[in-house]
Amino acid sequence: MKRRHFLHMLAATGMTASLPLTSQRAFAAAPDKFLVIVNAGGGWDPTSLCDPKGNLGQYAQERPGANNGGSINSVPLSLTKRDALSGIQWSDTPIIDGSTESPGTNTLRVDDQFDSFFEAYSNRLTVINGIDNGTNNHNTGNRATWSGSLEMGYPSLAALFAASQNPGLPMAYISNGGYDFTASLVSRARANSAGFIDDLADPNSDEYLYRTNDTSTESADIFSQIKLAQEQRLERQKTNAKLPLRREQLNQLFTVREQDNDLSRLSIEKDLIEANLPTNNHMHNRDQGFKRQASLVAAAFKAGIAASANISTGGFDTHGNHDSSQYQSLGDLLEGIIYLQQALAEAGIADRTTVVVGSDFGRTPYYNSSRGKDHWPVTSMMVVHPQGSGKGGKVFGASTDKFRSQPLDLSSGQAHANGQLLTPAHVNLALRKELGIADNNLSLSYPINVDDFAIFS
Amino acid sequence: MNTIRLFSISFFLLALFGCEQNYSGDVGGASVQNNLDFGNFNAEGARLYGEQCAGCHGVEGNGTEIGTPLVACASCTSIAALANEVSLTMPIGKNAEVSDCDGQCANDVAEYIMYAFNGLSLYQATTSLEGVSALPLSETLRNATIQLAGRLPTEAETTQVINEGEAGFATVMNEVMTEDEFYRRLNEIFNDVFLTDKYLWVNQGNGALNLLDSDDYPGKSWYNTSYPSDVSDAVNDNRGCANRISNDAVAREGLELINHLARNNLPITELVTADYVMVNWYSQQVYEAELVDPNDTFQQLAAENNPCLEYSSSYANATLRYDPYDFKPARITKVLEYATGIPHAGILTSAMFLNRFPTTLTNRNRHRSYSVYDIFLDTDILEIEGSRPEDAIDTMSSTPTLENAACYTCHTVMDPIASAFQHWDDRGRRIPSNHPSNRNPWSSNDIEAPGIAGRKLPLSGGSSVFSSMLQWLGHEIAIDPRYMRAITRHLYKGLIGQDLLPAPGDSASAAEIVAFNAQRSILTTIGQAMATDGWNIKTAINGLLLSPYYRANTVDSEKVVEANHIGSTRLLTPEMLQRKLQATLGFDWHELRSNDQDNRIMFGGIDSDSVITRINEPSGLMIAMQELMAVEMACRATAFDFTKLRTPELNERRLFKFVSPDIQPFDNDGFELTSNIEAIKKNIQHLHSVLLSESLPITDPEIEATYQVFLSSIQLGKTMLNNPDDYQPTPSEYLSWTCRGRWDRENNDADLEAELRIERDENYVIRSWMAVMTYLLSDYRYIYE
Repeated sequence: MKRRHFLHMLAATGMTASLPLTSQRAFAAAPDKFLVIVNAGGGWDPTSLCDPKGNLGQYAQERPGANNGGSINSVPLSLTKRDALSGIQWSDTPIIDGSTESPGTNTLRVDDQFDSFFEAYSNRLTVINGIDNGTNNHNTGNRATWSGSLEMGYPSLAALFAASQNPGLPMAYISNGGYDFTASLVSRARANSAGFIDDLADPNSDEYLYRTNDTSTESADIFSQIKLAQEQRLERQKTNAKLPLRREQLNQLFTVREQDNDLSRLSIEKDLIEANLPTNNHMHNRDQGFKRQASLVAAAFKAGIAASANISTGGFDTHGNHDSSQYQSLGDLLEGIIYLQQALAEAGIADRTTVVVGSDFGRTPYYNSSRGKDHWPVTSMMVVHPQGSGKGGKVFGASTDKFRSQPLDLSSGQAHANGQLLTPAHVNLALRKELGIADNNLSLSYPINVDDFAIFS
Repeated sequence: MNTIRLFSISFFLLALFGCEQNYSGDVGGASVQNNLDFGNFNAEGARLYGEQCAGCHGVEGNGTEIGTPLVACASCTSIAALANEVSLTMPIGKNAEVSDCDGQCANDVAEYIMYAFNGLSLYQATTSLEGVSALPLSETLRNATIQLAGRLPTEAETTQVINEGEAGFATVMNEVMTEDEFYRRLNEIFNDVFLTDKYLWVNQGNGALNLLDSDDYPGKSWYNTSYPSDVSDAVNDNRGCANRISNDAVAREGLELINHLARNNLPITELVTADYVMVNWYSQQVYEAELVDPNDTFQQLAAENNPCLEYSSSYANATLRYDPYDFKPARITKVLEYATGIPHAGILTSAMFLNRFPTTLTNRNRHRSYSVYDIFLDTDILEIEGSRPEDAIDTMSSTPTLENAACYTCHTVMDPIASAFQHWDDRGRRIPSNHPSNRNPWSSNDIEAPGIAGRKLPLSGGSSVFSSMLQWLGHEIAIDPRYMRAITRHLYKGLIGQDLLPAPGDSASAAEIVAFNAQRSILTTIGQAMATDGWNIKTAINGLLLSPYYRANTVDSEKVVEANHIGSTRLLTPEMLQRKLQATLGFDWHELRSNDQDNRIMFGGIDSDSVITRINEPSGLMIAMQELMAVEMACRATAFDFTKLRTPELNERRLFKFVSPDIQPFDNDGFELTSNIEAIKKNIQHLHSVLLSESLPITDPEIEATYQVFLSSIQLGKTMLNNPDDYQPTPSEYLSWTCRGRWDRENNDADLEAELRIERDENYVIRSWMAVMTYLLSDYRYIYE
């Protein structure tokens, strides 16, 4: 398909940008750093991941009827599942299938997924344990994790980041689910396939409206004439709008339309990434949906048309058969993040991309009668810092031995009687600072008024 | 009596959420006792209100996180009624007793609430807001018919509305609301609530049928038996087609119930009380259901109408002709594996609803209870619940939900309704909780007994409804005043495109409070009109269409300070855009047809599964889609419209009623042809009217601006055609292949007769009209409505 970039009409019109949603639209260039939110929807179990407690019968007294003898985990802590430098401990894998002597393929796969992730990325990873989400309700928990506020109305961290970078990018904030409230700071774009985007890159690619190619002696582009007329009419409509609602909509439309639409680069970049990193020939070939999202997100970043993205995946609300379901979901999640990191590296932007992984809340430190785990407000988050940033390789915060939250020292993150409970508000504040958006006007419009935990210092 | 009970529900909820928050006299900001101007209100009532009520219901009656608003409250119908409620149910709180405010106290408080927060002036504001001017009714009609019927109004309908005003509008719309397209729109509106389209074939294949247990419904795959494979093409096509229609009929049974109620002017309360399920011929086989009217029969389509072709052109040999849209009430009375028949309670007992709002063994129907509160009782338990402190973690109580105050405040509200679902398992299968098989291990020891808001479900004696709990619950919901508000809310969201304003918080401005109160009051009035009119949902729809929120044209910012929510203009959803294209061009955009879910999602749509909220603000991606739509639809529509008959006696064209491809603004010598220019401008005027709902005089600058698009295009085109060697690719007298008038776009792209076809464009007129069409189809007024 023949492609062209659109003419930059606005320069010809001399029109100035209208700022409907935010006054931050002073940015013109593609963003130089990126953020990916990975949401484990349904409430994951940190004790099955990065805050394991072992099978010590911790709740044998309080929960005498609990499965697995009241233990938090069904497997002990393993010395081999620990990164000596960072102190990051990850969970051993219970027997999902097969036997202890001869573990089944699922068990071996999950074990490999865990080891591969932590061994490869511990040096760039900040594990944040002992977060008290203050709720075990899905909606509220998801909102708290990704906005820092239990209350409604706060934009997601990824929306805030995209709005701070450049809200006018064609796909500034790609969301494929999870908490993606934007507070009208930026538009969300859903994009789970790149095929159609090829067609969108140039609406007149089939040249229904005549235009010449570069070898022509004369220039003619009827589509560009129409676009110019469109913009001029939009300007008149803005001036004449009598309803505040319409004015706002016209301003939004104007702002989004004025951006240089460079969607064609997306599929080019995506093809480049997948040529070297096919989604269906990677590790255990699990969760193709996640990987396709990941490659598209990496391509959109590289193409300069997106600044942040939500990647959401499910399978964590394991009220029954926790060990089998939760560990497999976590394994696939980690394999997906490995793919994401490799895709970002393939695109050459792993050194500018922060990946934050979290969930609605945690799960009970004991098994219910269905061998499942129910909702629990204590949770963890993981941050994979940009490659070469020198950040990571640490654990901040701690839950108690019985997987409850506890007061923590603001600097060290260690338990301290005079410390404070670590909440999503604290984590979001630290993330805002880490991403360099804490002090801009947008973020200040959604203040997080808590003390600083030195999570990333 | 019912009213009393129902009002107590809202107050009861308040008690549960607010019992930790006994009013202290200090509500922040202006102290009630000191600063509030009581005016002519009942001063003693105001004082008592400040003491006993304001802590939860807010100083201004707008509610708080823990208390419902009292503006236009459910039982604010008279002082006497409200006093009765207060006397019976209020106050509640940590150190309060219901008996603390009876008799004169209740009368005084009720009088204060009625005058301070429910002044008559609020109720009078049914169809107007001071400072807001409305669109002419004729334009409102156009917007409404496009949105609800996928067509433009006829001249007769417009004339009737102009002549008869609002009464005429209602008459016309009542007729519009009998059309098939209206019911598709109604489905969309309520699918945004129930999300049961998740189970449609296009989304999940056999998603709906897979939810039915084959031990309960051994005939659910009846098509495999009736049409065994490899017999003949007709049988194979029938099997595949019947499979798909059966699945979709089951998936849509809840939404079809709403259609049935609207179509027959039945009360929308039957949504939760109907003692039947809606089936078409195909799903009747699935359920082996008995029609409520045993003498009724399903409609068969004419032989030439193959309903299977809606699914796939590969079903051309199918002989099935039962109308898939002909749904009738039926009952499932057959013996199931663990029970006999289904005690139908409208959508509540539909396996689709029960699976879309599922539960687990340990969740114990609480999610279903939450959904019932949210969807039918306009109450979001979770938002009120808000934060849960760490110290609420209870590992010591054997049953925290019954024993721990931090838990039972919410669970006392949630659990009775959860218990009422006890005969339905996590897959929505009917397994009575007392079934000896113990397949449904329901325990009543650790959860509240079934009921709703303090009223226990009768479980013993002659009035016991043990086996039909959801029927009892449905009737309780239907008589709850909040049901009216819930239905009105869903319709408002569907028609206006916005959520209702949230209750003003402590920091709300006066303007925000005024806006909230006005909206709440108007919506209450509309809801009451619906209830009075036999709960006819069409009455509420007409009320909303005539409300200032739908019709607003201008706002006087001095009179209406908080006005961002006023007006119904919104970015079209994929479905609405398709309907508008159908209405104005006669066919829709192939890229957004229902089998292309990804494109719809990228255009801000939903899949009723993981993507369930619509996007209201356009992204760059959506803008690109709009532009592609404009180009492609202009290409397909322009020459095609010129192929239609246009004579002095009969003009079949939608778009180019006043011009033909030989009408150019200049003659061959470059001299202006005045009459031609007038015709072109007249047609532009027509296009602005048809496509953009703009009634512009011929001298309007916008007509001139559009004419300039035409003019610049034809000038450039002629220059190219006259100097073809100067351009690459070489300009052609032929239209691009896709843009040619070769196919009947309104009839599945069937080939047009050779003599009708238009393939050449020697004068560049058709392509100049294509340019105009592209310009107009990408206009704000087209992609927003």
